[in-house]
Amino acid sequence: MSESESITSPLRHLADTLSRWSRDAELFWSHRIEQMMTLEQTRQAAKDIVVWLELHGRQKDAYEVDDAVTLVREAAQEFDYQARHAASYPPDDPQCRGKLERLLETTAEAVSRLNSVDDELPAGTFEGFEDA
Amino acid sequence: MHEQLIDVLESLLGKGDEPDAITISAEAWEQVRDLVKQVVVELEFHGHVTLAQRVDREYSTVKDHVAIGGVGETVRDFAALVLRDAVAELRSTILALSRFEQQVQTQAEPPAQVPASGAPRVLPERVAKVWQQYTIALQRGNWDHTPTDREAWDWCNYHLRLGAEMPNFLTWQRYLREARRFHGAQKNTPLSSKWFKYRMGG
Repeated sequence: MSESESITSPLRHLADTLSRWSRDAELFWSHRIEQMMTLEQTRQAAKDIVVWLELHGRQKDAYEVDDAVTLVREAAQEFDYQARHAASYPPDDPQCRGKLERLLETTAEAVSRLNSVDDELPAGTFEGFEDA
Repeated sequence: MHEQLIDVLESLLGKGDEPDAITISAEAWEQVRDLVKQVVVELEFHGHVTLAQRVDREYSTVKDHVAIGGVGETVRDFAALVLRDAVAELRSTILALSRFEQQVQTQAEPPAQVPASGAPRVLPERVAKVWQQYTIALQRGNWDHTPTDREAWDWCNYHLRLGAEMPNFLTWQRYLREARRFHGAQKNTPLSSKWFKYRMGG
């Protein structure tokens, strides 16, 4: 896939957004609320892609995208809840650190799954997506 | 219809001042139920069976989580986060349908994507694994009642010793829900609800 194509693919864009979001683990301690809000903003982008793929008969790919981003959200919810209810300072809380580790792993896996789906999609799948 | 449903779902989400609490009023819930039904019928009318199933599935997930606290009751703690997420998911699907409304109304659903080998539809591996764990828990656990999903997950977590391979409860329950649908073993079938009403004298 050429660079110009990769820029226009909403799936690639979503993968890049998630990848950038999880790049700096420290932000999850210092700006947890903002990090959660940023993740929430990707929900609609992901769902637009999922619905678009289903509209175009790509149910298997839609499932893959949906499952990958849902896993990230679930891991993020667990981390956020743990951080808000931690018995001690969250970065010092082993359970909290464990949840963050899992969140980062899940996000890395999701990025890879999204990129794989994008690689396999026929050219032109997202034609008209941005105009809608 | 989409806009109306989006508005009602937004009102359920509230302003988010209290993320660990959510109350679904009977009136709003009734509206959601009726509007979702209309959206599903509309999608089926235009030949979008998969999308209709998606809306129905996401609505069922919300319904399952509402049932935990009950309509009109306040759901708290982690259950509130999960319910809020389920409502937000349904809302974003309706928003997407609204965005692609023209395509929904003018193009019929293409044939479903099937594996190149032409193999029959199968459960994704992750979902199949969870179903296997659940059936092991049912068979080997010493239950005097049908275990709740949480009890079955706890059992698996303790007895199967899968470590990091074991999904967290939220994910595990979601996969279990998918597997139940696949195997036609939903917890809340119309039959079970009629039976429940009969038992309750309704």
